Amino acid sequence: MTDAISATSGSADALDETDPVALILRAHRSEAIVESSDDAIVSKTLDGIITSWNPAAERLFGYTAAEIIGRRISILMPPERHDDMEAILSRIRKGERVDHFETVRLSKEGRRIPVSLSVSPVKDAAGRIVGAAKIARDISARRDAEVERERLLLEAQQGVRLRDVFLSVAGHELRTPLNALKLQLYMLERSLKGSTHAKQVAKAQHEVDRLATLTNRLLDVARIAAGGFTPELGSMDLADLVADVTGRMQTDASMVGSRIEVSTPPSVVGYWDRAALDQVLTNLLSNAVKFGRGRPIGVTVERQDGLARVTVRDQGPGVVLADRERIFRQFERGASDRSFGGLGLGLWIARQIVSAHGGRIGVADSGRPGADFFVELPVQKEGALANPAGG
Amino acid sequence: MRILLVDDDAPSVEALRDILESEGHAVTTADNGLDAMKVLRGPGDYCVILLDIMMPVMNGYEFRVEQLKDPRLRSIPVIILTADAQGRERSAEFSAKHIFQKPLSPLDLLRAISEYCQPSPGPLAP
Repeated sequence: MTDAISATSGSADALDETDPVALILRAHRSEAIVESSDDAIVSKTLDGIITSWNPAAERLFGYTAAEIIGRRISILMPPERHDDMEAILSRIRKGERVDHFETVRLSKEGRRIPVSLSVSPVKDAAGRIVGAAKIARDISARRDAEVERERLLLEAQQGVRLRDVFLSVAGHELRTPLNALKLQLYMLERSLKGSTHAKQVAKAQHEVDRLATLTNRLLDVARIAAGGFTPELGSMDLADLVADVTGRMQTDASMVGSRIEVSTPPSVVGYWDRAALDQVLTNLLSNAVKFGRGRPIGVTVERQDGLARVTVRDQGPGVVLADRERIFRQFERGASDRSFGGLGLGLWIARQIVSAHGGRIGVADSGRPGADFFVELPVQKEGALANPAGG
Repeated sequence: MRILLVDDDAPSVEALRDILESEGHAVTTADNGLDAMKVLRGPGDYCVILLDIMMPVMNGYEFRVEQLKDPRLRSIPVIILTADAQGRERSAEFSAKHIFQKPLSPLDLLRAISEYCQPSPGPLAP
């Protein structure tokens, strides 16, 4: 071992200046660094006869220096890798280096070891290439980590699939009995028309609707929190959607003595997710009904500078400056006590939906009493249709 | 002309059948898509099919594929009633006339049905 290194270091002055092994040997004039290296360092002749073998090579491959010096390097190669050697040696003969070549080598016990090889030509005093110096790094740990990473990735993907299936089944299972309940109550309401019990049935129906909304919201949150929200974009008219939602909410508003006043251009066409925006507007309007103290609620739609902007304005207590960001967080509620129901998730979901459209949702500073919620959506999107009348 | 109601949830089917019959509609029910195909290939004319999606044996999607393959049945309009939140996203694939998410709003559903079916006047209404 010492002899082999000494022989190589003896000709160090003539070694290739770019050869890392040669530079190491030159810099230290000692085998110490080779001896103490964690990487196997081996040199061989152009015929593949091993001429030096450091302790790390002994540890990695299991052969002592005495056993292996003078033998062919091919003893370390699994049969299917014998072509490697010719490929490497032919590059070495041309004076080229082989860097980080990942392959497999055999230990003395026949164990297969994944290694990364760097092989450099060794020249004699006259500059002739007389052999090769090889650094072999054991990459088993890295390979194991890669396998482990792939396993974890697969596991995560399976987890996501399972979660989606679970959420879908849970949603189906929760909504199915609610459906039967709601239909039965509808029949009951009809048969009790005019009776003193009609009021109780109407209340029961209202509770079923509330339960359905909460179910949807919980499932939405589970889905969004785990995987984010991806809008299903399609061409749609925001003015039409606003008319739809406000029409639907008018009954709820009138129940608290309020009414919804709508101001929109004839049409504001864009490329958005209609069902998701329906959810956003329904949420803003139900908040306005809930907190608006029975006073009129204004909904306006405008188009300016490539943006469509919907404003929902109530005349309730408003949202103090300090709360204007907080209320969009998960589980946060604007109202400080339990006098208003809800999970504190509606505005958070709304923000996820609007952000996924590249838009903004927030509370504007109108300088008037009440809350001014706005939603801004970019109109120019891939596949967007021209807006003929939206202005 | 009858309404074909395809759904595997018995309590929902029972309630919806009551509602439709009280509005003067004649209703036939089927438990799954395969059952529904048998009904459609038997006697009787149908003005609309109310179709659930998640059903055993043959689901709503598979039923729709079968229905569209049959030139005699393909023109019968379909209204989808789904308890699945993704239902609406698949409405285009189904080329359905309407899609309603459960729990259903009976009034919205009746309004949609009225586009295709006229209730028979007479003793059915309470």
